Amino acid sequence: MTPRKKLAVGLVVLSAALLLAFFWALIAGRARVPVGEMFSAKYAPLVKLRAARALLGIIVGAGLSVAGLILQAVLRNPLADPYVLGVSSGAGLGAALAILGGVAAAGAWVIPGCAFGGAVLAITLVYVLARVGKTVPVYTLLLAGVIINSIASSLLIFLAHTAIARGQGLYSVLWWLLGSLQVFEAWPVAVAGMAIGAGIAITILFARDLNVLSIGEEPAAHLGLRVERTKKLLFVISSLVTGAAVATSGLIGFVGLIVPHAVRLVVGPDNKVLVPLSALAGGTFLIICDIIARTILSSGELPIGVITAFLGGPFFIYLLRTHRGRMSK
Amino acid sequence: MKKRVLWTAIELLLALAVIGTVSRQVPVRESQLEGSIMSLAPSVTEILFALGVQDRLIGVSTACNYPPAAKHIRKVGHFGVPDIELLYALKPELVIITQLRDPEARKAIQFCGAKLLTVKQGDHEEVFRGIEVIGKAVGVAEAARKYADELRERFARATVNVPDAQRPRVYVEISPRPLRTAAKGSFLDDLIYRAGGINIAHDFSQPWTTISPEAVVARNPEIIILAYPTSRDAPYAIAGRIGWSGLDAVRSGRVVTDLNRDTLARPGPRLVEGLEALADLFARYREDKAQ
Amino acid sequence: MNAITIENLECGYGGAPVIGGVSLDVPRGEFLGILGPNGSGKTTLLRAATGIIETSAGRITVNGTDIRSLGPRDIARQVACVMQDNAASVGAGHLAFAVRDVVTMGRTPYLSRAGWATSRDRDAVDRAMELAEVTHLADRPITELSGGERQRAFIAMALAQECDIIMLDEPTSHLDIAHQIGILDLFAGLNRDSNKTIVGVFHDLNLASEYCEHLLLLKDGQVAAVGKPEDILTAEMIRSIYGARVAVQPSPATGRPHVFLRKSVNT
Repeated sequence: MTPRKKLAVGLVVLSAALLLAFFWALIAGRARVPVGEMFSAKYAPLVKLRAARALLGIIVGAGLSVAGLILQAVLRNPLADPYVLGVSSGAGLGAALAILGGVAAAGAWVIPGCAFGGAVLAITLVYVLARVGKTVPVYTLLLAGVIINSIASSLLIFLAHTAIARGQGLYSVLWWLLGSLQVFEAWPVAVAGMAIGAGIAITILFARDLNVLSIGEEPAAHLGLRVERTKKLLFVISSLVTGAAVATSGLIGFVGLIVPHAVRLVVGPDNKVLVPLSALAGGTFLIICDIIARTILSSGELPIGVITAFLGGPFFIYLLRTHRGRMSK
Repeated sequence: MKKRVLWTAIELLLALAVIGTVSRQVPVRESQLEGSIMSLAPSVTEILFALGVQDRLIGVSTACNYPPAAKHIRKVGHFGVPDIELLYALKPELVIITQLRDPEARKAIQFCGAKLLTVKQGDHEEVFRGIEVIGKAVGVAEAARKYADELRERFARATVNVPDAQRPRVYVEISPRPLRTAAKGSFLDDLIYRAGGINIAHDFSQPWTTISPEAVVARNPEIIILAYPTSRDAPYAIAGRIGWSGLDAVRSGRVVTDLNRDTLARPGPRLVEGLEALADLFARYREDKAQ
Repeated sequence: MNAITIENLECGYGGAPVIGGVSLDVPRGEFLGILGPNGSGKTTLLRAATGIIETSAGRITVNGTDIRSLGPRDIARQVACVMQDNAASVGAGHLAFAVRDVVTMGRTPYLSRAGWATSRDRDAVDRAMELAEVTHLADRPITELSGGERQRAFIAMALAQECDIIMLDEPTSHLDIAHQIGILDLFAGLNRDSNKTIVGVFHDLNLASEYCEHLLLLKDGQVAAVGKPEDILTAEMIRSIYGARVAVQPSPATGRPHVFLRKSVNT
């Protein structure tokens, strides 16, 4: 099957799956909503709430999947994920500082803004740490990511500790750290949608470059790619998308790891097919996870990050074992 | 082979979602049940039971464990965090919470059209006043005032006034790893003083603070209270801690594990019981010392 | 107009320059071999000539145009490069592109961002695979090929670029003799039939002697000698450049000079 046909078939199938999942999210939940009366006055507010949540799930799921895909392609490492570079931790730290600094009350945009700032700060620090002359070798990048991740995580733990001692804000921080798709206003969804939508669109345009980078940076340069510029741009896109996702829904892990690999298993490594399909698959995946998170306990929610970690942890171990001997340079 | 694993994983995921979807669904009420109440804090639940309005309590938090009957009431969320869907379905008239732990919780409660009552419970007087506020909100203002006054009286009676020299040095351990205790600004610290003791960690800055083992040893408590003993052998474990065998409390065998922690740390009506238990404990200490 | 002209080139990787003052003319249709000891700057010279690394002094022109005024895509339409470690760089399984996909990447300088490969591109890819004799491997994942097959796949990728100038960086060093001869025969054919300019870095002096029209010896980042194999490959020259004692005799099959080792230990 040519890539074009694969993409067409994939788009049809996954779009259908996404729509089905979205519909499912509208009727699933602890409160029973009869399908026929979904739009009646009695049920409409709840259905709208579920819809907003599902929509955010699509946006965040698509964003995190594509962000992970970018990193795997550029770093040529199957274990790459927004968490590897500490981008998500940076975002989480920004958010936690906002919550515990008490500035959250200043306005509803404060927490997302700080998370965003944290993500950008993290990727900037990682880049500055990892740069060797004018290039950014893969191995220093990964090391820098691990370092920034450690720093951000320990700061986060310190903040959580302080919060416990002061008896304040801990619950919010914890929910932030584990992720939640709950939204009550439309604007965070809109902002995230615009940022992530733009990021995914640009990534689709650069899908071919992602392919070419996979055979090596030097061969890619010989083929006419502006390697350093392209890498920087892709890193920025990946972190902005991650920052937007974390700012809106907290830290949801492993989506950027699981979804690209699952889709790649079915359609192959061509990024022109992989990018759009991973976005659709990521959105569907997160909706389903959220349905589970909302309904699996007899009361209350499970943070969605727990579900993705439950799936992602074993998968990460599996990846580590199969790719151990074959990591690229 | 790998594709098969993928399909299995997808099937598993979908199965979980299906299970969740079809199980334990609650029908949505047409309108609010008059007088219905939900409590998202264990102390509030205790107060509601004490005021005799438990029949109107249609939902409690997962942390609400007293009185035993509370455990049979439907769980509608965690401590301070409501399950939006259940709230929407059951449509309580009034939701009572203590300090707002989750700003989203307020939005959730408003979304469901319930009235929200937030009760401050910073110290014991606020707890008693809180009882009156709750009582007024649920329509038993008079009974609540009487109950609160009873508690105030009991509380005052149990308060002990002794000179500092006669107060035992007390260390309350809230968690063993890391070592955590109560300091100034917390209930427990206040109770200890009113009951006639001195909290060795009184001067620490955070109300619920970590403490180093060396600090405990340096301050040499005469009574050790384990609020959350990890096992039945806990007192022996304490004695086994390096450097702790020389503590006055260990040498005189005053390591207490049977005080109900919910009476010591929960800002509810049983605070008085906690005070009384501590006062008892410290009184016995003074008696032993006098001999 | 020369295929490549290098004037007083100086370049390096940040510290001391690796190449210090190299000038060179490569006429169209030339088959040039670049030789020299390890660290003499051979690969650096190739990288500079393709515009991959920055130069601190000097000028390089490709087909008459200064490469500083050309974008990477323009350069890629004129100069293709086959590196030695292409094969090694294909590692992780998640990059298992089919051979056809890898060869199609050679069309990158001609493909637009949003578009797909056209029939013109597909023809170029088919032709390239035929020339490199990897058509039968078209649908196999590149990670499953042997070293020799993978190198041929990357050669096909370079051929798909349809350039007049091809640079090779030890393209056969790790292959068996049949593959070495096969691949160099392929380039010799391209050089003779399509007048492609070939510039190759060689470690194997005899292979360079057989296939190249001219040889260039590099030592310590400077040109030590340029000329025909007969003039360059002499025992004295090799002694002074490489520091190794050898004997040089013309090959009984072709007459080109061949280098024979002299062991220092007698067995």
